[in-house]
Amino acid sequence: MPDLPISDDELLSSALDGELSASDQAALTERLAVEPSLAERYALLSQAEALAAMPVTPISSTDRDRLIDAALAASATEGNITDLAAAGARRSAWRRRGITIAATAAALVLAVPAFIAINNANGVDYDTAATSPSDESAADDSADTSASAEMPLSDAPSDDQPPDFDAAEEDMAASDGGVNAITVNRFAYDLNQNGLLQLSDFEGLDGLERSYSSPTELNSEVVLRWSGYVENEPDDIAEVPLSPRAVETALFAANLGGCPDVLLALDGLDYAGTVTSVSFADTNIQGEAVTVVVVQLEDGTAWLVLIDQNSCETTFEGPLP
Amino acid sequence: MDETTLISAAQRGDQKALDQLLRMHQDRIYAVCRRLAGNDADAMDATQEALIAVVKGLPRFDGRAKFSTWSYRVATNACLDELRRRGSRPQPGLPEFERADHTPVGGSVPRDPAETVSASIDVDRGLAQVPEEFRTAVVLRDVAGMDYAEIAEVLDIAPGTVRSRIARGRGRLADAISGNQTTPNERHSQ
Repeated sequence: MPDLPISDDELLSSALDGELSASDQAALTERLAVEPSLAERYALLSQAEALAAMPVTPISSTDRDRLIDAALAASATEGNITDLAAAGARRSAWRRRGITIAATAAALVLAVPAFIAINNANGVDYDTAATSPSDESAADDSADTSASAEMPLSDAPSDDQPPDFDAAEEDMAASDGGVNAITVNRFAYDLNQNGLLQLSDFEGLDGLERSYSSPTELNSEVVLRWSGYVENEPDDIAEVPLSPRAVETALFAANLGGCPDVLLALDGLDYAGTVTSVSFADTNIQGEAVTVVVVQLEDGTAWLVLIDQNSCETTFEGPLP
Repeated sequence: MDETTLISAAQRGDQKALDQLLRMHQDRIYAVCRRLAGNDADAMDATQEALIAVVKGLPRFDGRAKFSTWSYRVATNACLDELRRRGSRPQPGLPEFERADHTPVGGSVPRDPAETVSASIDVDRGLAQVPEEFRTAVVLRDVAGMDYAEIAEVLDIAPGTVRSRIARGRGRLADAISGNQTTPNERHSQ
């Protein structure tokens, strides 16, 4: 089958790559000598080739190690470990774009009150949580679980709930007794509604989203429970009955041990008063891997804590009304 | 250990061998992803996915193709998938030139940082004008240094198509450089 005729660009480009036969190359050389426009085009394509071939600035040795570590973690998942480990490693390798967390925090503050409203209005059923099968031991230790259910409710616009979240919440209720794991998704939704984040920013984080709440309080103790949202999550962090430093406990349980300074920084957070819920979202804000924490207090105020997962830089905003 | 030995060891689960194998190809895979993505951040994520894809696909590597060709195929597809999943076109970004330990991949000539930044922006902006299928072929040729036959194998297309795509990609890039935004047909009719 004869070769199809090729365009001048193909001819010139192939010549640049040394992919022409000797005869074709000779013919082209003759044409270039007598066709200025062709010679000009050849020069331009040559520039394009040189530009495309410009060396790439390599990644740093630190990033190189992170990428390799994540890939090796993925190889482990090929055996009997889930992709969760790889996802976690990927998270640690995520990119840095140099945004300032503080600036992001200022924007997020706008969304948090609405988030809390949605959170409260959508069945954070602490009583149910306390009496769910997996919570029986904690419930036994509680003299008065019903008192703890007095949550600051506000008028949430339930009409605005996205249908898929409703369905997901039903699933959640069946699996974990109503502990509010869905808050993270609602938070993401709310941020999206406010134009602060795109839902796509949360893609790929399934299984890393987490939410804690305080289903039971007794003598100032706050019982934090793993939501049960994530399959394959180790059972030993399913329940964290510690306090009064409930926030620290929650952060620790959220496996933020890689950021020890966060715990120190939290000493500066005035969360006097009973913590009624702590919600987390490991997310990606403008390319920065960030843990967003909303700490809600009994008096209805809340604190927003943003933790840069790369630098462990922590930013507090609050108290929020 | 030579590459063949490393591959065999890695396929048997030798983590050190796998580590070494990945490091041998990491920079070139990153370079491809970097040019396809158009910015450092997306390139980093795409490289992550590409390396993971290589690791996961390693048990299926049968040695019929060169490992570099096979790994480029897997990595390129993974990189493109990741970029498509993000729904992102290449977003030209400033290179992270402030790091001190940088030596250009495939080149050793020190460059003026200002020149590097300027050229990087130019190439990113230029490549962003090139449709993905053309851009991929150009990148595999000019960044990875593959010949047409290898590119054909990586992209699973005919060598003639490789030639056409590279030419059209360079043509678009040339037009971007020269400020000529006319289509090839328009140009030829002039």
